[in-house]
Amino acid sequence: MVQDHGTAEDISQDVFVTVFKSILSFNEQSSLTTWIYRITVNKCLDHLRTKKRQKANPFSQFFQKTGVQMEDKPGFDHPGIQLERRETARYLFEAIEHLPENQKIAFILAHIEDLPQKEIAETMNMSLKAVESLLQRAKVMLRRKLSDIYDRRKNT
Amino acid sequence: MANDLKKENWINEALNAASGIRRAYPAAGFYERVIGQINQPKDIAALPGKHWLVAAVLLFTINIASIAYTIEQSKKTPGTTISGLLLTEIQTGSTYNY
Repeated sequence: MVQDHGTAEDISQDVFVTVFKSILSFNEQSSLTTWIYRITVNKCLDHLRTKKRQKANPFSQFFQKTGVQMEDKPGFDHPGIQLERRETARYLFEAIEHLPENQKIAFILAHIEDLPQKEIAETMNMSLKAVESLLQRAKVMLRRKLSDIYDRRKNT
Repeated sequence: MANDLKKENWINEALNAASGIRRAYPAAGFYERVIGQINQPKDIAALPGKHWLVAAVLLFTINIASIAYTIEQSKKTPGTTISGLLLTEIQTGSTYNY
């Protein structure tokens, strides 16, 4: 979701620490995995929002070295992608980056993390219907974005 | 027509590029770092030096500006002193909820 190895590892570390510290507040209304997914999604969103705020901030250049990493990483490579699919997967991740927040989460949980829609709904605190609709819209948007990327590639 | 088909195939291929993705494994020493962070004693997060510098410069500028403004005001209204103006400002101008 954050499309950067280092940041992903920092967030994972943070998630483990949060899980350890708040395990007593886990009320077993959902499964432990769903709870951990929810924490992870929230941490990623926090990071992305901070990054967005910093980009909009005119002082961002000044704080660049001290704050959260602000540069986008074009051409992100997921380590788990098969070698022969790397090139196309890179374009897919570029398109995913342009999705609205909710659609991005739903799509990643469904197609990258391979979670069932019921678990996605619990993780995102949404109804199953809402998740279905989000995934539908995400696919339409991704198709549109990938079409633009295809045209761009053809023209260069 | 053939081009459209080619484009459609490419889009479908890209959409399926993430299928069968393997889970990423943490780098060596990851769990040690997590345990280290859990065991770390709590301390107040220190602001980086640059943040302090900017805060100090801002505070200084605001102070200078307000002093200059007060002096300017005292010049416009003869017979009033700077301390008198400041006192009036404190008594009437403050909106802080102490």
